[in-house]
Amino acid sequence: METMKKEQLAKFFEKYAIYVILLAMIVVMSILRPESFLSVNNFTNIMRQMSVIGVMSLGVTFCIITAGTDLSGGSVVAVSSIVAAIFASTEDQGGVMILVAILAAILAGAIAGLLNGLVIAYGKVPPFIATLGMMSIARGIAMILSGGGPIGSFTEPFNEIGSGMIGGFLPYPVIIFAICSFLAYTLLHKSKFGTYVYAIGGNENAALVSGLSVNKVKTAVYVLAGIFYGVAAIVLTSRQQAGIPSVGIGYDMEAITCAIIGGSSFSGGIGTIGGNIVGAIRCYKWTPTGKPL
Amino acid sequence: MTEDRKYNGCFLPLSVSLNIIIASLNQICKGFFIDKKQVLKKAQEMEQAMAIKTPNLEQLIVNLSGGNQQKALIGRWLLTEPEVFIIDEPTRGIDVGAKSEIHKLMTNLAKQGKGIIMISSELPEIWGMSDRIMVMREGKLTGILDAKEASPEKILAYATQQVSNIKTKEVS
Repeated sequence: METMKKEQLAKFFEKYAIYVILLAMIVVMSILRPESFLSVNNFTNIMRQMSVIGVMSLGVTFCIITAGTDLSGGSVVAVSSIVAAIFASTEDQGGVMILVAILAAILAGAIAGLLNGLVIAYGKVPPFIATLGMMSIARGIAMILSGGGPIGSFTEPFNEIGSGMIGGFLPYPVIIFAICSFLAYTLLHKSKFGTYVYAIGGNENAALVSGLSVNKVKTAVYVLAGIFYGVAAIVLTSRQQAGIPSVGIGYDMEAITCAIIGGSSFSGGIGTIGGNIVGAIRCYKWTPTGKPL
Repeated sequence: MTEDRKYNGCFLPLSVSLNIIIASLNQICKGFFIDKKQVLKKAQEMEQAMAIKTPNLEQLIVNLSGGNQQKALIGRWLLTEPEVFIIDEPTRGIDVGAKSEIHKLMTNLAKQGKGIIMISSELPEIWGMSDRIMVMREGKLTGILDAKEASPEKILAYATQQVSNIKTKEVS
């Protein structure tokens, strides 16, 4: 009886430890800094700050579960951001350009992801090397496209994406993060695609002999990551109200950190979207005052 | 079925149920999403048919013994409803009890009319299980024996290509 209980407790912690620790962090912060930490305003800020990295880390989680990694995130975000800025700052007739900007940014991310995926899956280049290359390439393209300087002065509706709120406390970026999380969750945990992703990460050779199209799934994973980078870039560009070619340096590492803290394993086959979201919240810079930096 | 379970058989960090259904997932669930109930049903069917000893189907397969891993793998391929099995070293690294269970499983499959090609380097296993034995040596077929006429001596003779010696002995 005793051992049964112990076992159950151990299992519970194995599964939910990250959530428990997050809860503990929140409780401790609330006790230590009740005046600055415990306010709607503060939570709104935390959520808004983490949403860009959060969306990125969703894509990275997929890559890491297939036993890969993606270092190109920050640079791809920069390219998508510039692309979005170019379209969003052109003369607008009735809001069409905003839609074009959004789609173009996502497309730019997807293309970068596709290149990553093709090189990794069909070229058999290790993900670390391939995405390291993409990191430099994408940064260069961002510099060329922007001419080296920031691109700004968007129309008001585009700026709304990053700064607007529903009901004064729920910022749009958080809603976008929530939608992306839901999509990622459905893909990873409810679809056949997700099962294949786990299988490939678990044992690529076995996946191959079990008749899975390993290369296609791997490519799709990196395209998916690229799409998430595109979405993150839109939020980021709108929040900064400018497309800056040097933006996002180090974001890739933070996104990977989010995924790892969230319980994903570099050896592949392990990781959840729920854990990843908690990882993203925990990755946010907790300061002594309890306020965002 | 592979001879190297760890290298290209099991998905070690994943659950038993996923290991069982992965090869037939396309047949079990049509469309984009996973039908959890159907998947669980199929996995349970196989768990019972193969008598896999596991606390539950969500247990990670890495925690199972070699014999139970092997049974799960047979279950995986059984689910794809093949007519012919090619099984490479079915009892490598497996304890004696599980060995005989796997042999029983294979006999049952054969009784159901499935063809089984078993590749093995264990003499007693070959002698005990087979209807027909093909002996190979350095990539070349050296002899085909019926179960009735086969004996460990003959199999070994073909495997080492000392057939002429035996024949001369029989004559003298």
